[in-house]
Amino acid sequence: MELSMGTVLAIIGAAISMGVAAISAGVGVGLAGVAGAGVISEDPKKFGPVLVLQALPQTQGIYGFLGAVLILIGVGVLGGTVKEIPIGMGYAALGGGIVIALSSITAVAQGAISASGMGAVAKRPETFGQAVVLAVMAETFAIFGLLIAILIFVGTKIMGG
Amino acid sequence: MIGEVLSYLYVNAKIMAKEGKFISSARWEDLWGCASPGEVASLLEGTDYFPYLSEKAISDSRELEKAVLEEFSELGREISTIIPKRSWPIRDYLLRRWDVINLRTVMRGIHGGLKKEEIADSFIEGGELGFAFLKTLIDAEGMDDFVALLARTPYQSLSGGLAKYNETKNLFFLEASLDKIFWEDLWEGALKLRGTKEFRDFIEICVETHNLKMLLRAKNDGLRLEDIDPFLIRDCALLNELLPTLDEEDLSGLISLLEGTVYFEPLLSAQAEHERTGSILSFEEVLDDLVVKKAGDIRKKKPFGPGPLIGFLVSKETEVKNLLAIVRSTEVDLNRDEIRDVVVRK
Repeated sequence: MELSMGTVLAIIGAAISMGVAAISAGVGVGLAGVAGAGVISEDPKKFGPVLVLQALPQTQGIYGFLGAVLILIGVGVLGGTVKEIPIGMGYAALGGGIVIALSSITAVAQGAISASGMGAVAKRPETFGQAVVLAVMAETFAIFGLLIAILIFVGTKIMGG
Repeated sequence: MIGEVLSYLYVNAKIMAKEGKFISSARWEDLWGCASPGEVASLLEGTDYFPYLSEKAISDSRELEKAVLEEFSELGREISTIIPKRSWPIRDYLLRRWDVINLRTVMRGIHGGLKKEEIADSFIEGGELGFAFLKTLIDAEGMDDFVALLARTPYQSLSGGLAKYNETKNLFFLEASLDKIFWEDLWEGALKLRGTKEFRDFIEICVETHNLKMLLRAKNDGLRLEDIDPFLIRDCALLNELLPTLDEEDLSGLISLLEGTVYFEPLLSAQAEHERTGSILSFEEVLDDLVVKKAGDIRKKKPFGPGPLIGFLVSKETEVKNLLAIVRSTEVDLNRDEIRDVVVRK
């Protein structure tokens, strides 16, 4: 099967979206996990709040996955019939994938915030709500990135075309 | 910088969880109302100290004190195993302090003619000098023999204070020598550290306060610089600034020389109390408070890396000191509020 240049670019966009988001979310979850282990080693009862805070950086990974799936559906890779898409549309799909990938790096910062939040919760359990809010702040920019990518996909008819 | 943050993530989360188990304000109020070691022991239930309490600690304040110190020592050993390797001067700070405490116990025992069993019972495990070695020190015939037995240990230069001790029979000179060795070695290690500036800043203020305590004591007791010179840590910028004019100044003059430093205002405020009592304890207290404040400032300025650890260790030490003060106050028949006003640290 021969793929057009536009389709290849779109698939690369999907790969970047998922790959970078997976690395970023992994690092973020890892940072939070290290701190979580420190808290649980002292107080195993804190597993619940620690788990919630550790899960927050995972969402960027989900955004990367969502972006990749949208691209793959758009170019027909997931539908069974691969479409021949123009090169310009391929670049647009690649751009959308890169936006999601770059904005997913916020997961690293979110992991660091979650790690600090775990310490705060360990010291004062009543600060759990505030700790979650602080960590979610970093998420905002990943959501903006996903929205822009969706606008690109809709505007260039990768989605709904 | 990022590496430092990452390497302290686990440590900092763990110590913050430990801070969550600090004795609460309400519990402190109850503790100050305790009249016996048994009451204190019962209020320690649920804290990190409780597992260290033996049957004897309920009726014997010395056993209770020992249990509190054992918890603190075990904490130091635990932290020393999880801190990053490049922070090893912090490890020295955590472990060697127990050597100093145990050596001081032996020195006081020999000086006061205590029984060997009594001295051995007071040892706290946790330092780098093993229990077996410490027990050989108890067998020393006298202070000369004790110092000779320390050859080939980091404390061999204790001989510097021995001559003065033999001359005056004042244990202060040997204890000052021991403190000097501890802080000087730590300071040398901290100066070699790359990147861990926070720990260097902390040890610097400890070194400066050590030197200032020596100088204030010398001025108070009418000693000359050459008398206390063996106990001063020379690699200290503040000391080197003061030295040229030091012999000409009295105690007030020494404080005036510190104008423009963080030490000036607190020492000035403690001067009235010193004039009333004649003791330099008021000066030592404000200097200790400055160390606590510095640790707090380091923690606030550098919430990642070793900053929180330094803040935690100093806070924990303050908690232990306050707890020991409560335990000891159960032994004496004095007004507890007065004791509290004098000894409690914040």
